[in-house]
Amino acid sequence: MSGQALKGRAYAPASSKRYDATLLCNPDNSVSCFVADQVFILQPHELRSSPALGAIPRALALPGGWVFEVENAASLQRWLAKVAPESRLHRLEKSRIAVVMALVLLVVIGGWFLFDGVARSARVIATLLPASVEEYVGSKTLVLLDKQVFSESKLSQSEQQDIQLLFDRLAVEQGFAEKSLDLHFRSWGGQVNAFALANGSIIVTDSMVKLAENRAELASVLLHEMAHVVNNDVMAQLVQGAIFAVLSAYVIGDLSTLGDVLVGSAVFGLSMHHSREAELRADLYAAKAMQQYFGSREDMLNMFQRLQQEGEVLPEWLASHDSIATRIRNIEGLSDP
Amino acid sequence: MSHSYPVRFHGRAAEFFGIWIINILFTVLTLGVYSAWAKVRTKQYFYGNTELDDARFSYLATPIQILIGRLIAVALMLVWFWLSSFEPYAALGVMLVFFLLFPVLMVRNLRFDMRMTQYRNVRFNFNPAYGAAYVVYLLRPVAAYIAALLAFFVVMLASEFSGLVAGLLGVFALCVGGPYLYAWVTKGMAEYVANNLCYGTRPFTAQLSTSAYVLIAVKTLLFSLLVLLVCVVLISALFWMTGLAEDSVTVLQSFAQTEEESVGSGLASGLATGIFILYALLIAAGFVIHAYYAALVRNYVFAQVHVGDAARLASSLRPLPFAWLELSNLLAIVCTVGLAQPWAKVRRARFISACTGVQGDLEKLLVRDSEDEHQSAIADEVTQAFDLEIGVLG
Repeated sequence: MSGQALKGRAYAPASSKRYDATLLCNPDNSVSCFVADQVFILQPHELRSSPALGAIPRALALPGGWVFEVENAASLQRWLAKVAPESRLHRLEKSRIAVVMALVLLVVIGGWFLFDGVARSARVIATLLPASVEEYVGSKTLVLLDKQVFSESKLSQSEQQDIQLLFDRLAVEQGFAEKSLDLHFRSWGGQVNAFALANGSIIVTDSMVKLAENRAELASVLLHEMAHVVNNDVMAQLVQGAIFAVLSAYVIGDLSTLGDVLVGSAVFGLSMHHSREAELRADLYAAKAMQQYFGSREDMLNMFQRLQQEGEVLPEWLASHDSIATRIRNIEGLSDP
Repeated sequence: MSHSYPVRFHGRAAEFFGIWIINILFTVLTLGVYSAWAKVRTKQYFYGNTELDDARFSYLATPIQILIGRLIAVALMLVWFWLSSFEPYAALGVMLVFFLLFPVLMVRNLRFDMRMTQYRNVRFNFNPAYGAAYVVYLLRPVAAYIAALLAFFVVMLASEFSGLVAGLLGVFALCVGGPYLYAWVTKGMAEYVANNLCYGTRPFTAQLSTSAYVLIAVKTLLFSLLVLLVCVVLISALFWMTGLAEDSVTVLQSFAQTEEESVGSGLASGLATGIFILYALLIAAGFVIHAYYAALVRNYVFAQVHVGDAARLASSLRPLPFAWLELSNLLAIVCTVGLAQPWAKVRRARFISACTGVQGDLEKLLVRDSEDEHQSAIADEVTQAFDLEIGVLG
């Protein structure tokens, strides 16, 4: 556009007063700007313009705080492109190939992260956490559960001692360091349940003890919980929950509630998926140990069947454990050692 | 000579999609650091595409300003998370400090946003009137809560003597007292913001009336009843059509008798889906009601705002189309797993711009920029991390 005059507007320094202005591009790539009765001559290297972004008309900063703007700026853009190349970023944003590639890359990264990355990083972080954190979280959890849901166990002293002996023997056999595990007996209404806490505490409810017909059946439950301790599943689960919470808050920051619910349920589904994997691992660990100590997995299967008869109400995709039927199939499917 | 100047938005969804996706990719690749650049670029895009009387707005903040603020906000968040999991009482104390500092953060945030907004070579500004900020952001809301509590106790007390009197008092408190208190609080905030805004050295002024706010609150209340009625009809239709009603009875019964045989997981799954739909529908209803209210308030407030004596703002956002816009945007975003977000943002900006204008004579609006001073994004980002938005002049 050499020699071509470009009509636009200029503003005086720090003022909204508008002047008609003319911009003239010279053959040597400098520009002359005529405002009111002044002329500004700018060499290409003196050029300060607003960044190129979308199709927004670019403003030119003139010496002394004056600003030149032009609404229909195609020719100015062309000239600017020549003397002050557009940023790489701007070219990337305009390029169809770059945009499509970015999209594909994001889908891949996002998919990997959700299905694998979070669980992996949670495990890494969980192993990095000092033991004091595990101790703290575990003991606080037990205090809380004692306050909220548990009551004292009604099992007789001798029965508790009996089970404690079994537990200690299993722990030693499985290679746990002394005092790294703690067995607690609690009553929880009629609930049949057993859990591991972050600090190696394992809790069995009275109803779980009563459900087991013999000590071997109970051993399968204890072994399953020991597996969670070995694999550090509890801390990993906690860290994973925290990662998901932070992520979803970040991703849907401006999406508000409905998005929240949708992302929340997707996250719930995913963490259930991961925790089912952890359950499967724990089952396999217990099955192997049962084979070793009791010569068969018969008692473990019997225990599962008893648990199944206790009944489950939640559908499978809502549950953190696979249905007992699935778990039995998994154990039965193990090849004999 | 008085003119009507429309606001126009020139952004295009396809164009913004490129900017948006590159923003997200770089933010992910830099583990969030790029988000400060992304924010600036997005703001620059939307400001720079907004035109009034042949001139564009512009956003002046630099990414580094935003980044520093973000880092501080993240640090504060981490401290708070850490405290609340290990020392709940200390976390409570921090919460209280935050609550007491809230008006200051609010003012700093407004000031930052305004000073980073430029039109015709002149920046907007916000007069930091802290005393008044404490009144409107802290004292008034607290007073309103106390009043609501008192009303509750009075109704409880009255119910000891006469159910009828208590019922009448309760209805009065809900339908008259509630909207009045809400109007009183929100009007105070809007008036505070509108009267401390400046364009360069030219102050904005606005005289708002509580009764106009009450009227809007009552209109919204009636509208909400209508929306809820529609929801109830939809839900019952859904439940009866799919036979979910009987299923849910079965499931609930089986929950009540835990010793019984378990029910098929298919039933429970159906019920879970039903509850999910119910939940989503109620949230959508909340969205629609909120948009309806926001449109009415915006129209009213804009009409009262004067810029010096040269111009006044105008907004003609029609509540129902606006509510539909917000709802359909949300659905589009959800159904495309977020990919429709740039389209939705551009569509929203275009819709709102088309309903916004300035009346008066802009040629007379000759303004000088106020004195420069060192700016920080700190308060700005801290408030955003805790998600406090007032959006009075959205």
